[in-house]
Order: sequence, then structure tokens, then C-alpha cells
Amino acid sequence: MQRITYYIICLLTIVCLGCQTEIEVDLPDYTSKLVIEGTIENGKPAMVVLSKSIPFFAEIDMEYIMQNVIVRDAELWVTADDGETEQLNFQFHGESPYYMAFVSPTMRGRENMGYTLRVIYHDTTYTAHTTIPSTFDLDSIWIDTAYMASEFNSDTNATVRCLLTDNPAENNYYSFSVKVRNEKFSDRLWIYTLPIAFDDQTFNGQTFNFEILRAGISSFLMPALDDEVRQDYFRISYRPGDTILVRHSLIDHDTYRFMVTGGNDAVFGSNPFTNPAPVSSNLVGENVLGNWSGFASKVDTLVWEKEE
Amino acid sequence: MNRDIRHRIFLFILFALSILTSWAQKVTLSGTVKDDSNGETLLGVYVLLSDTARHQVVDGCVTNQAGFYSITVPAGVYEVKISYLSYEEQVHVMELRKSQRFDVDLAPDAILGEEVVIKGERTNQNVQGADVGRMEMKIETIKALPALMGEADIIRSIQLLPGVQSGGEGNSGYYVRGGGTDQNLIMLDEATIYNGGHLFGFFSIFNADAVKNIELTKSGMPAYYGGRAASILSVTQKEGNMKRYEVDGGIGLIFSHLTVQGPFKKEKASFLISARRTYVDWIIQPFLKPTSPLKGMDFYFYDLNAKFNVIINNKHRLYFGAYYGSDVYGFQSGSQQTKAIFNWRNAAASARWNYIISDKLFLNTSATFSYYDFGTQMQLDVYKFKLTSGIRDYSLKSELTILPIPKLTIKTGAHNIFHVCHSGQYAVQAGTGFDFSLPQVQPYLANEMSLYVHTEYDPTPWLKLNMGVRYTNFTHLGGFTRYILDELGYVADSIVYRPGQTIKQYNKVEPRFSARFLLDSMTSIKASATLNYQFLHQISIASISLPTDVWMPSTDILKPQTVWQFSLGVFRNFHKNMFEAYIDLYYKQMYNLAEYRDGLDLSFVTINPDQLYVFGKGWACGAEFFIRKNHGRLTGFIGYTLGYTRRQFDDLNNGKPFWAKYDRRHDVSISLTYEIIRNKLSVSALWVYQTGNTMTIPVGYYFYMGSYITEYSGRNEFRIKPYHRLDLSVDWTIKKTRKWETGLNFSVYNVYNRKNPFFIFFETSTDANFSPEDPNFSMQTQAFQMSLFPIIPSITWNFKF
Repeated sequence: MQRITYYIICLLTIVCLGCQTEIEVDLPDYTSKLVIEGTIENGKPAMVVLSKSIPFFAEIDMEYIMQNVIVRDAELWVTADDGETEQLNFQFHGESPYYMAFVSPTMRGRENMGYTLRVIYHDTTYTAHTTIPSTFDLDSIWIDTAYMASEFNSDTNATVRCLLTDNPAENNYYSFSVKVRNEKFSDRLWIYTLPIAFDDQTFNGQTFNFEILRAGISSFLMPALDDEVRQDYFRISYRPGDTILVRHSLIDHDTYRFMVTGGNDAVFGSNPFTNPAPVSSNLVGENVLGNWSGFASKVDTLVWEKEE
Repeated sequence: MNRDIRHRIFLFILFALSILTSWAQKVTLSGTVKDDSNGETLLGVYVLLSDTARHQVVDGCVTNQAGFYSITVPAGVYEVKISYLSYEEQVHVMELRKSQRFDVDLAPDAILGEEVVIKGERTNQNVQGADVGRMEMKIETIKALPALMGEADIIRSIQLLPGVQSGGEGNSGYYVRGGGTDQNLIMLDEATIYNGGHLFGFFSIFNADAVKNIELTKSGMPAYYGGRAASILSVTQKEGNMKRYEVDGGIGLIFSHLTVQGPFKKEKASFLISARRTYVDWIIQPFLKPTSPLKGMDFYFYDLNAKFNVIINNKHRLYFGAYYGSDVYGFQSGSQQTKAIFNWRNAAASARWNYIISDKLFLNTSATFSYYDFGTQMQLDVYKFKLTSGIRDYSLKSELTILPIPKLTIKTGAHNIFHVCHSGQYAVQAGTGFDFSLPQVQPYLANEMSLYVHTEYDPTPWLKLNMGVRYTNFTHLGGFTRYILDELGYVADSIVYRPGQTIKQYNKVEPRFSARFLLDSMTSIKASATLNYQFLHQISIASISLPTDVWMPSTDILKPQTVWQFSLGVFRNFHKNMFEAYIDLYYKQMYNLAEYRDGLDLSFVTINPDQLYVFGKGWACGAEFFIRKNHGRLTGFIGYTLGYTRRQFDDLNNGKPFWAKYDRRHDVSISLTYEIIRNKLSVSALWVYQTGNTMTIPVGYYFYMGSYITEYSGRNEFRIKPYHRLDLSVDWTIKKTRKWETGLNFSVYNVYNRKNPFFIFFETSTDANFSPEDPNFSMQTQAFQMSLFPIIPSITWNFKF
């Protein structure tokens, strides 16, 4: 519905030869908030990136981010529901957007386990609880060239499709993400598909045919690429030579709500005709943004061989 | 039986006898007033009876929708004055010894083609009447206003009235005294119109050539109106010329319109057919580049109006009216990977039977049908999406007007509407061999049955009372499946209702009261208190109203909107009614208002859409100032509204109160027309000013999962720039005779090219990539304002023969 609204507005603007002018917006004074981006996944360490939010019209560069956005001086602990507790260290981590994050030295996420995050920053304590549900297997997954061939007459583009059978006994919340590796580029971070997360209300207990596009690409945090590769990078389909890693995860309800509301904002937040909605969060505390998210994930790898 | 009760019965019998006795000595003058030029009945004509000796008005009334009037006075000799603005006034001296019928044909003063002195001044009905918030606009007044692209627009015109606020640039939606757009009932010949806009609201659906009368009621709502909480806009179509065939038309830059009317049988039966279409899609296609979003796409709207009426005899008359309008708009991206087609249709049909049972009884019975549907088909890369929604109404209404004693009019009636609401059917296709149709969304069926009594009573010359009560039984009916959701939003249980089974019933009583206290013949104080229930809801998903917005009936979850309104005003005329002015204060308390819940989850749509809403309350208050000059070469009005509109929802804005999105502190309209050469050449100017709309604005952002997420201000905390513009027009009647009329209209919209805000958006500019790998990264967000209409000159050639 929001997308319909967006296209209606595009149409109106085209029709009416709309005139665009830059304006100054007098915003009230803004106080930055702490942002907690925390994840724990089965078999992986807990990883938390702390940062500060940024005034909307601030001009920022890498120096501003290093000095005003990234937060290093905090104390973090993760406690499993069975009592296992560990303090997180600030260290290098390849899956952190900034390469640095608070990471659990030995603790690894376990399926069907709850975890509590405690952050102490400038004498204020923030807490959150999340759960890693059970992992699941796809019935099948394959590279599908038929659609692109019929609709776009292309045999060098493909989508990925999968079949999954939903567990009828549970309320399940799914999230899919991909990484593509080829001779031109290699995704460092997981790219979430659209929708970023979905529940099983419309296919509870049934076998569901799902399309996995590389659709949620953000221009932020992308690798440094030359212009030619950059064009190739911003594609939602797959090409010969791609090695495609598909991560399929189950998440809990709070993480699902955060991903849906945050995802909606990321996709539709620039639509001036939608009523903006606050992003959901499982964090407890004043002036804090973000989420503490548990993922029960498995990864399938597909290779589309390049014909010589 | 004790003595006290006996005494009371005796007094009652005495009182009843005195009424009957006095009635027996009275006579009734009744009849129909028509336009002499075309035989159309005239609504709102003043019929005044004066004492010939003392020249004092004894009694008077206004003709109803069928042009019928009835006055009961003591037998005697009277001066009967029939007056209507822009018509030659008639004065007759009549000796009334017994009740008699007196039909009148009024001649429009404009067609005489010579200098006409208007003998009588405009009556002071606006001071004398007790209908506090009712305003009429004559179609001639609307046509005289400068218009966007030369097209006279009824809804844009009523937006100029105090207390009525426009939805903003390019929006024909309107807000009345702090109410939402869905709180306005729009009726065409008594049939409900669910979407009053063409082209996403830039133009209203009413073709001014086919319209006879417009009446807006915004407070003191009489009991014979119901179903909406803020206002009633009643538009009556012309009936068709009873005397001769007539063709009107206009050729403009965007539209052309043509109206044909005439008698089937002279003075007995007539018809009217009117059509309008835009043709900008035909004109621009040859000039579009192959990559244009509009290339090869449909892009138009049209509408058709038809009316037929027959006078069976002097007691019975039948009217049949119909309207059909359609909008189709499509566009595509240059690569043709994105394609969208939007279309919506409005239809209304009505059949009305007027029966003058006697000079004191008038029956109006109507059956109407209303239809609105919206559809969109979109293709975004590999995704195809289809949405359809709509509403249908089947209505039957019968109203009896009774004049039992002098100074008392009673209107009583019954009204039944059966609503069928299709709240949205979605179908999604993604890729090959994968059709994903979401489960059928059930239509919502509801029946709305109302009974009402409305009285108008003048107990003394200085006091006039309008009192009434309306009872409504609203029932949400099966077949329907109600899904019970758990706290996570999952279906925990369901209840299946069989077809016709009552799911939820509301029985509501709405008292309506207004009073006029006459201080002198030119000054009055008016007060009103009304309670309105509204059982249909249209909640906008966007920050403006769009044709995608669906109508929903009240259910066990969605409760009827409830609005109390109080108003108090001083009305005064000056200089023999040349000037009329008023100051009106209002206060509204609103309950059970609905909005979409934050973080809307589309999956709910597939279950029960009424579970998407949250509920709250609202307040509105304000003061309206209005002055109008009615006569002379210079005519026009100045209106100003000072208004405040607040909302409070427990589930929105952390429960804190917030300004409504259309909260407008100041709203000014100035409209002036100067007749340079009488009936030949006139110039008009219109200036409007409105405080900017409120909006929720981003105040900060943060990076998360490789994207950035926005942090917003409190709901509607920011206010965009004010809206104002000046329009000018020149109306030149080149030739005008009884048989032939031709003229040109030159209009300039937004003369000083004000860049009014349509919406504000934000763009982020970046140098290099945001990546620790790229040290040259920098980024800043800037705000931009999109404006729609620059200065737009237009010319329209109008003809009539």
C-alpha cells in the first residue's frame, strides 16, 4: 500500500510538472542517542556495535563518524538463560560495519536459548533479551533462469528460488540474506532480501515457494569499487560466475518487529506521503535506539558456473 | 384522579381547542416556484406575506427541493412577495379568503437584455433563519470565480467558505471545522458520492454545467441529515429545460464539456445530458519522448450526467438522475521495468417521487444507488501487484413534510441504506509459475436504518427553534469470519457468522437543536448543539487523502465516530441587506476517531482489515468571520477562520496529544467581482491564505545493518510554509440574446507564481562510499519542497444556444 502511495505521488509530480526548490528547515535542538546493534547467532560469537545517532541535516565525513558516531567506551555483558555470562571485548570483527565491535571471546550462540545483553554507557544501563530459535532446512534451493529468460529475454540473469515447509506447530518468523562472491566483488556483509523479514501467517504449515533476490542493497557500507564494477554491484539478480551464499534464519517476534519496522523505514522512509512510524525495539532504557537480535541460521551455497 | 391532574387535562384541552379554533380561521397559500426561462423548479426562493395596511411581514418561507412552498396565515388581504437573487422580484396583492394554490414563474433578470432595477433588496434570511451552519452557493457565483485551467469547480469553491479548509495544493478533499475528509457527506441528487475528486483530487467530479444548486451544512445539522459527523454537501442536478432545447458547451485547454437539455413534452417532461472529458493525453502523446513515463499510457478522466423528470400532474412529479465518472492513469519507467495503472469509477443513480398530498402535506420518496471502486495494477521488476477495493450503497428514503399549524413545520422520515464495503483484494505475482493470491478479503456488509423528526417552530417573532432527533440502528451483518488474534497477532480462534446474521448492532440517538434570537430586523444571535454519529470510516494510509483509501463500516472493533458540536454566532446585515456578516464560534469534541496503527503490517489485511486501526479522540475550536457584499457592481466576500484541531491516541505519539495534520491556525479567502459593463464584462479576483499543514519530520538518523534508519519528531510537530495565491479572471460575454450566447473566459491561476508547498522531501548527497575503506566519504541531507502549480493562464470559449 505504501508503495502504491509512492507511485501515485510520482505520477502526480510528473503530471503537474512540479517545481522543486531547496528549503531550510528549522529543526528543534537534537540530542544524539545511543544506538545498539547487537546480534547473536548459533555457533557464532555475540557481536554488538555501539554508535550514536546523527542530527538529520549534519554534514558528516569519516572523521565525524570516527569521533562522534562510533562508541568504544562502554561495558557490555551477555548472559544466557542457563547462566553462562561473558563480558564482551572491543576488537576487530570482519562482519562489523566498521570492522570493530564488542565481541564475546568464547561464548557462542546456541539454538533454543535466550540471551540477555547488558550495556553500561556513561553510568546508564541498557538491557535487552532475545532468543535464538531452532534452525531449519530448506526443502530445496536452485538457480532459476526461466523467469528472466521469458520476461527480459536474458540468459545471463537469474533469480534464486527455494521451497520451504513451515512448521505448523510454531509461529515462525523468517529472514533471508545473501552474499555474492565473484571475480569482481565479494559481499562482506549479509544483504537482506525483500521483505527483510516475514511471518508464516499466510502459509502456516504449508510448503512455500520463495524467491530470493539480492534486493536490499544499501549504498552505505558498500565496498570501494570502480565505476564499472559499481554498476554490476547494484543488481538484484544473479549472473554466471556468482557464488551465492543464502542465509536462512528464524528469529523471534521482537526481532521480527524491529526488522519489519526498521526495514520499512529504510525503504519507504523517504516517501513524503507516508505517516512515519517509530521503529520497534526490544531495548530497555531511555534515549536508546536499535535492537538485540538472535538468529538461528543455516547457509546454503549455490554456484553458477561461468561458461568459458 | 386528583384535582391537579384534572386541572392539567382541562388546560390541555383548552389549549388544543384554541389551536384548532385559530387554525380554522386561517388559510393556506401554497404552490411551486419555477424559472420562467426553462421551467426548472427553484429551491430556496423567499415567499413573504405582508400586511397591506402596515406593510409588515406577517409570515414567510423558503421553497423546498421541489420548489414547493406553503404558508398558513389568517384570512385577509396580503402583499405576496416572491424574491430570489438574480431573478426579477414579483409582488402580488392577493385577497386570501380560502386556501389556494399559487404557482409562480420567476424571470431571471440577466436574460432581459436591458437595464433592470432590482425592486426589492435581498431578504435577510441569513439573519432570520435558525439554520446556523447552512450555506448556499449559487452556480453563477462559482462560475464567476477564477478557476484552475478555466474549469469552474464546486468543491474548490466551497473550500473558500469560512470553516471549510482545503486539503492543500492539488487536493479536492476538504476539512470542515476540524473534522476529517471522511466526515463530509457528498450527495448528488440524494445519492452518496464516495470520491469527489478527479485526477487524484485536482478537480471535483461535479460538472458545473449540470448543477443547479449547492448547499453546505457544517453545524446545527438538522435531524433529516445523518451518517456523517462534520458536514453535508448536497448538490442538485439541473432538471432540464421544460420549454425549449438548449445546448451549452465549453472548449478549454484541458477539458471540453457539452450539455444538451430540452423538453420531451413541453411543460411536462424534460431531460438533460452533460459530458466532460480531458484530452491532454491525446495532445501530448506526439510530443513525448519514447522514454517518457507517459508514452503510450492512458491518462484521462471523463464524466457523464443525465437527468429526466416528468410532471404527472400538479400533485405528482418524478425525477431520475444518474452520474458516471471514470479516471484512468498509467505510467511506466523508461526501462519499462516499472509500470503502474490506476483507475477508479464513481457512479450514482437516483429516482425521486414528489407528491403534494395537500397544501399542508408534502411527500418526498427516493431510491438511490451509489458505487465507487478503485483498482491498481503495478509491475515492479519481477513483482506484479493488483489491488481492488470499493463500496456500494443501496438506499431508500421517504420524508413527509407536515405544516400542522402556522409557524410550525415538521419533517419526519425513514431512511435505510445497505452498505457493501470491499476493503481491498490483493494479488501478488513474483516470477514465473508463482501466483500468490492472498486469501479473499471478505466484504463487510452493513445496514443503516434511521428514523427522524425535525421541527421548525417560531413561538414568537424574536425566537425561532429548530429541534429534532434522529435514531439510527446500524448493524454489521454476516456472512463474515471474525478472527481472534493472540498478542503476537496470530489467529488464535475464529467465529463464523452466517449470511444475514447480526454481528454487531449499534442503536444511537442523535439530538439536534438550534435557535435564533432576533435582536432587531437586521441582527440575530444563533446557537446550536448537535450530536452526530458516523458509522462509516475512511482512514487514510497516507498523509493526504487518496483514492486508495478504503471505506469501512463500524464493527465490533471499529466503533462509530461520535461528535458533539456547539456553536454560537452573531449575524447582522447592513445597508438594506446589501452587506451580510457574521461571527460564529464553534467547539467540537470527537470520540472513536480511527487511524492506522504505527508500523502497519500488511499481513493483517488478509485477515480482518478493521484490526489495523487504533482509536482516539479529538477537539476542535475556532472562530469564523464573514462579510459579503451582495449588490452593486462590486460584489464579493471576505472570510477568515481562526482554528485549532488536536488529537490524542493512546497508541500514537506515546499517548501525547498532537495537532491534526490539517490543523490550520489562519485561513483567509477574499473574493471580489467587478462588473465593468453590466452583463457584458466583469473581472474577478480571488486571494487565499492558509497556515501551512503540520507534518512529522525527521530529526536524526542512525546506521544499522548497512542502511540508515530515520528518527522522527513527535507526530505533526513541524509546520510547513503557509499557502497563498492570487487568481484573476475576466469574463467577456461576446453576445447574449434569448436564443444565443457566447463568451470567453480568461483566467490566470497563481498570478504571482507563488511556490506553494505540495510536499517536503529529503535528499542525501554523498561523496564516495560510506565505507571505512573510502576515506573521502562525506554525506549531507538537504530538504526540498515540491510545488505543483506555477502561474497558469487559460482561456475557455463558452457557448449556449
